[in-house]
Amino acid sequence: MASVKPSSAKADGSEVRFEVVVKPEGESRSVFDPDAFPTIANLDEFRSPKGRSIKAARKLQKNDITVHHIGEFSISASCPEAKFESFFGTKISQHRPPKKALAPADYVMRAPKKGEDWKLPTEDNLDKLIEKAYIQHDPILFAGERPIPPFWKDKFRLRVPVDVAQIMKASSVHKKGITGDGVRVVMPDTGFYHHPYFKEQGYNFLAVTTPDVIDYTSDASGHGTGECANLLATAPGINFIGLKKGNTTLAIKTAVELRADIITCSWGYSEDLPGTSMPSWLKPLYLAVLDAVSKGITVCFSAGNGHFGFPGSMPEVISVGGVVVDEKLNYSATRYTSGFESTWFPGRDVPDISGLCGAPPSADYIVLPVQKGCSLEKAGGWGAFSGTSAASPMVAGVCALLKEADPTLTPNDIKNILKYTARDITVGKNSMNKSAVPGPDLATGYGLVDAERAMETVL
Amino acid sequence: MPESPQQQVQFDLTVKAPGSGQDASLATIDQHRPSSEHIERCRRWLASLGVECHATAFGLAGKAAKPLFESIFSCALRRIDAGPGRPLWEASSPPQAPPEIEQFVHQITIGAEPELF
Repeated sequence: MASVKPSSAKADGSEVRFEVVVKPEGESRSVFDPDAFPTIANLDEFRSPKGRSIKAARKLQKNDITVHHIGEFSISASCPEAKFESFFGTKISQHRPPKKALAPADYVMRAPKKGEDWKLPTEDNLDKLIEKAYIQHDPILFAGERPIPPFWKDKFRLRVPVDVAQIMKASSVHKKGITGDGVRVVMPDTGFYHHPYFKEQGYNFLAVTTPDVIDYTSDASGHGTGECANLLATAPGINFIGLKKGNTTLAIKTAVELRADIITCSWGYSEDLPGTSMPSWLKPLYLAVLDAVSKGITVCFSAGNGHFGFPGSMPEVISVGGVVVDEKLNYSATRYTSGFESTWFPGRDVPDISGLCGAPPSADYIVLPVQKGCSLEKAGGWGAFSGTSAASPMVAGVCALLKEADPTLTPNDIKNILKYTARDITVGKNSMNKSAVPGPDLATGYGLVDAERAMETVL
Repeated sequence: MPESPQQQVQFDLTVKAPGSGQDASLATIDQHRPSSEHIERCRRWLASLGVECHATAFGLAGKAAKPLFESIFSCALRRIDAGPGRPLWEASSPPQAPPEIEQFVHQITIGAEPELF
């Protein structure tokens, strides 16, 4: 049908969108008749009289109502909330849908309460033309997860990919055309759900399993799915393989067989404790990690969140701790992370370097995609978490950028580049009360990885 | 009826190699690589008994129902609550390699789920 030019009012938070139904005329019927039952066969009977719809729309516009469209059954309109209240003689209040509606936690409806006063506007005799007007609410999305990270206002959090990429200084490297293209990164973890976020970002994302696990499609924990977003934030062009794992020794072996250039692991065993030696049951895993490094694969491990993490304590891996950055861009060590002198590997200080990690009590710091209904979900297929589990993959992403720029780099070259170009952190303490001081320390290692400076050493 | 995951025992079997029993490092890792044929012999023999196992570079990673594990490796297991990142099972004595594969086996250890950091 016809349309009229919308007035200049913009739809924003204070705007009310509504549909106006004009009164039937002649042969036409009202959809609000108690015995009305529209079907495809009788639909024409419910079409609004064209001339009457245009007349009503013009009068609405004249009364500062924005008319967006004159449809065959109703007029789509909007106006500020206060205008709606005065025009229709009513009062708008906030409602939550019933629990059974399964609406997201932040979903609210603004409309007159049931039984609230309501009148048809008498201005320009609109009450003679209009039959009803109904506020229209945003639909509840049934698609499951949202493809972009939500803004939760209760506290400061980082969002992927932009915040992570910028603070890690990876964004400026991406602008030079280096995104990890052609570098294969394998991440053994709890599972890798195909969240719409990954599709939206256009990542090369492949989920597989180790031979002792079935179902590559699900991630009941959310840990793997969420933490891999940190990796893809710093290296969006990599060939990513998410490896749902069972036995950890087999996971490392599978990652090697998948011809990984880089392996990143956000887990470990808190066993490298003072006064102990490596138990026999961890030796197969130790051999598997050594095997990976001996084949030229760069292996990153989370240092732990107060854990004496192994294999993160192995000298052959890049052990990743954490640095917290607040909303004012103050950088400090965080009381969430580990930092210790290995007992099993004398002279080995953990961590080597750091990525981003939140603070206690829960390191609720980065908004990350997860499978709807999983343990780590906060709302709408998104969670808020971090830990050194977040730091390791984001550092692994920087390793991938270096590997793209210079494929001949060895694991040790990469570790040294990251260490000597990191941003020194001199404020704060870690969970083991180790202070960040000028130079390398047990709080953050050599500091926060700086992708831009690291890249300067190879370009 | 299949065993629940809680009744499964996750284990690693390391196959003998020239460097077995010595500390491993990047410099010596090749001495810890066993013959792939020996790994395959162990795998086939255990698989024939219904044990799910997969070859690794140094042996096998497997899982078996508790009674099966106990009967093959001649030990008694008890479930323990040693906390996250620790094995769920404790053996009364070190698991013993059965005579059929004894000549190839360096050690059998019970594994654990890692902690997520």
